[in-house]
Amino acid sequence: MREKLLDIINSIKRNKFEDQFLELKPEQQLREDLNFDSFDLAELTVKIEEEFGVDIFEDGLVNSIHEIYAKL
Amino acid sequence: MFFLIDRNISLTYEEILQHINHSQSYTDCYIYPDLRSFFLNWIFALVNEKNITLVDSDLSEKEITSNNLAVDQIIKIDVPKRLNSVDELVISIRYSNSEITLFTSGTTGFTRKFTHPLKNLIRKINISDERKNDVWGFAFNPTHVAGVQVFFQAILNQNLLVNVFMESKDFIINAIENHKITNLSSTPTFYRLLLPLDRLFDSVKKITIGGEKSDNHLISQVEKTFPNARINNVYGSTETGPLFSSENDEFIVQDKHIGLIKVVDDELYIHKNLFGKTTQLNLIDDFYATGDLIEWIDDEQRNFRFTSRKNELINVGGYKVNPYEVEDELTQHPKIRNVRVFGKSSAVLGNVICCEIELLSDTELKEEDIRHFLNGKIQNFKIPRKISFVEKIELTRTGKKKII
Repeated sequence: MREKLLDIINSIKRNKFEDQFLELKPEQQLREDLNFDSFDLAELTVKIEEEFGVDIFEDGLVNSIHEIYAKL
Repeated sequence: MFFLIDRNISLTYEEILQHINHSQSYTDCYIYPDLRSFFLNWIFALVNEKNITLVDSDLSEKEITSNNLAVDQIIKIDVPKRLNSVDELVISIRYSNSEITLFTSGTTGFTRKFTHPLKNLIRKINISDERKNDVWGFAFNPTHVAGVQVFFQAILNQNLLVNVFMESKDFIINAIENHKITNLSSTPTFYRLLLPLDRLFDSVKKITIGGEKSDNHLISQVEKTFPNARINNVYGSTETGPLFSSENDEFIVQDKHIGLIKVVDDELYIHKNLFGKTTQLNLIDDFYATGDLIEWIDDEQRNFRFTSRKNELINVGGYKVNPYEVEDELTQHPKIRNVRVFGKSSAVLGNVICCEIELLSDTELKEEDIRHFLNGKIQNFKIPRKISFVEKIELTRTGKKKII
């Protein structure tokens, strides 16, 4: 699961021409540390939903990698 | 003399005459088994001045019940009209007082019905000796307004129709060659799926494009493949019948239309006088709001271009995205055959722009290639965030791309 999430996040980084991550840390913040804007967050949710069948933003905003792990 | 060739089924004008002269009844709301039966049934009703409702042959039980349709109603005629010649047949169709009921379907599903007097449906039909030898590639659903237009154009000029609707690319190419098709009329989606072709087709003299928004890139590709064809881009709808035509994607407000069309918040409004008798439209001060959005090209407001459908703009985080603008950019990619851009609801932005891409055979593209391609061409918020590559883009009953 963690590897898949890393793949998804790196696909978004690639699309933005930004450096990819070698690993994710639970405390990383999506906006501050990953540099995700609202469009990237939307992309993240549709890709996670496609892969895992879970809408991570269904009941409120998710801010960190740790919170995504918890949802999955 | 043939009227119809539909794979291994055919129908001649003489057979139509025989059918008219030996039948006593027709079927309303006919769930027809094949195109030959469909046309014979309809022509019989027209010749006998009877009203008829045309429905798709693949209606589901649910669609039949939710639209309160009484399908396959046999209507007997006490003294059916008898005809002596094909010329008489054509004249009795042309001057029939039948009313024809059609359903809107298009891009948003099977919904409302509209009844048109025949003379309203055929007012744009050209009948002349020059058109006697036309051969039509029939590339529309026969029960919808565009197919109805092609049917009348062909039969009133005693032409041949070769059915190519929803057929494969190879089938269509063979049909154009074998039957020396001179006229093609279909949706932009049809031409996008047919092109590019590796050779030219000289036999085609006229190409009509309509039913969906078209663009100049597609029109120029069509021009290259069919060098002898005059191209006609048309605008009309089930609600209004045919209205405007043009050789490219710009339409002109003709003198006779001044005062009869207006634009409110970019939406095209059409005066009721432009579409004849129909009581089923919601009118605002005698104008019908088409739902089609346009932009003026000149200051005098005589030339315009369609930009989108009102209910098809996708709201992404407060920005309005026109899916056609994105599709137009993507279809210019040399490896892309067809695309469909649509919105998917998102808790973050309201909607996320998604797209399905059909590639040309033996080509490959990755998600990031698409993103790179679009980057700088359109604004960031318009760029699809979910990109899927599909074998085939699903089409509606009328051969258009599905919106949702």
